[in-house]
Amino acid sequence: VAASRREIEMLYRERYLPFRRALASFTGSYESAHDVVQEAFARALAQRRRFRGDAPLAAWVWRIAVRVALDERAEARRAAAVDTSAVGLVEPAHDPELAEALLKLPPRRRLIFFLRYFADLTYEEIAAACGISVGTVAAALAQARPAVAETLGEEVMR
Amino acid sequence: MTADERTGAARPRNASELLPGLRDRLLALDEPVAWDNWDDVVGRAGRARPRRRRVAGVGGFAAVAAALVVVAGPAFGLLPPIIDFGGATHAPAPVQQQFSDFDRAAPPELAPGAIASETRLITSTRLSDGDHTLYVSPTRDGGFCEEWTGAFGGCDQLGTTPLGVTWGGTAIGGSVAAAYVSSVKILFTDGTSAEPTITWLSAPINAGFFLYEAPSGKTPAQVDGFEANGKRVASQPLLGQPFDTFAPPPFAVTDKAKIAAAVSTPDGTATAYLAPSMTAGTCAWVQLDGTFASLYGRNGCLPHGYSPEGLAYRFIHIRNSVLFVGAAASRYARLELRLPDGATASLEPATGGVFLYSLPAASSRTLGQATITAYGADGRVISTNSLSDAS
Repeated sequence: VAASRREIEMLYRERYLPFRRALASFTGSYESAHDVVQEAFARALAQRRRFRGDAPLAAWVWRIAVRVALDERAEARRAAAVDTSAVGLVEPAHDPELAEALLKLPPRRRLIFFLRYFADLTYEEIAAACGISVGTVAAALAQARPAVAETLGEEVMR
Repeated sequence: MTADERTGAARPRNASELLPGLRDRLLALDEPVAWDNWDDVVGRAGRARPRRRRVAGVGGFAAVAAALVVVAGPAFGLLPPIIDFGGATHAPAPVQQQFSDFDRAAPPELAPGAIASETRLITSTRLSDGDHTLYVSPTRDGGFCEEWTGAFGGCDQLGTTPLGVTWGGTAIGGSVAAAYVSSVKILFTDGTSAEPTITWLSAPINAGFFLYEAPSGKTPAQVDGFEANGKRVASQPLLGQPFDTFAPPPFAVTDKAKIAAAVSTPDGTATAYLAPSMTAGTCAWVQLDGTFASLYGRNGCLPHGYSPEGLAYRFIHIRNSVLFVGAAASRYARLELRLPDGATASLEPATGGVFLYSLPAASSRTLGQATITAYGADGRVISTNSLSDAS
């Protein structure tokens, strides 16, 4: 059940922006995130016969992208351990309050929030990408959404 | 790319789920315009991390050919010469690094286990866009990974896939397992065909590789693999549909089919079958009232040694019946299907991981709200999928 070149190209054309947006949140810039997206899709394209269709294609490519981003970070910082949950607004000056509200989320929940609302992944894709159940994704988002909104002063009905 | 051009605002699709205040702030974040460049992706795919690890220069075709030791291959009968893999030149270090990256780049469960230090330089082929060099490495499980530089690459972890094909534009690349396939034919949409030259490798690879460029004006439609006696035993459509839904998978040995599961439906009994494939693999399909559906991927069969990975399922509507069918990896001991009206069904995958369940006809209107929970043998939940989320 290898992915076809056409499927990967369609995914690229559909998801380039959300992937770059989400990856920028932990590479630190849109330029470096662009490079990661390009490299990740290139690797996916070169290795597409290894995709066996037991997870969404977007999740498979996303995990490759995370691996590429980790490599970039490790090389840039010469740091062996990198926390993939350390995501935040790439340009916090655009909305410091929002940036701070997002940083108040626990790291894992924050990552899921970014995957949902920056990378535009479906629940199933997030579950496959993070190795967790869809129910866990749903629960994390159900908690994260009102938490961020409340931090920003928005009235939340419970 | 320039960092000064801005989209004005990001447009994440899922932001509509957020409370209005948070949603508006998220949507107000601007970002640079898209710098998407598919040609750059394709170019990178043909290189190994190009900015850091430039593949060492490769000699011309004559030099490559001179480095190869060609041996007679009794196992291959009268087939063309076979290249002695062990006698082929070791790939340069950057290429070996690229093959070791196969494991690093992929999710762990999909890592093919290439033995990168044993990667060999095999041959070169010239297409209209330039020369492409074939590198091949064995895998720890008896298969291989291959890479045509600047074109295609991939792995067959077990080396049992009779015919594996990748393609893009007019170029078609692929591999065949020598145990099952002796020749390959590429069919074009105009009804003509071509036989690409196959480069055969000895043990431990025991496979053939090809890279072919369709002539101008020809559109490849399908690739077929044949045994030495001319019998077609594998096929991959490049343009069309999965196997005919009015017949079992085309390469299943149907007279050896066994019933894996059966359920009553308003249209009679629906039956899930397992059968060997013509190439020692396993085929699985479900049949109801003259309609057939694959349970194992697009062509209905898995290569020898491969088993279902993950959980694949679908709902099939046939006349007055709705079937919930699929195949699950062995770690899935039980599935629970929960319908919006509260009704639940518990299923245990049968032999081959296949499962089959007949839904009440009335439930078909609300399948978009169904939930599927998978449990392991220890009773713990492995995954929960809400169909409305999976859309």
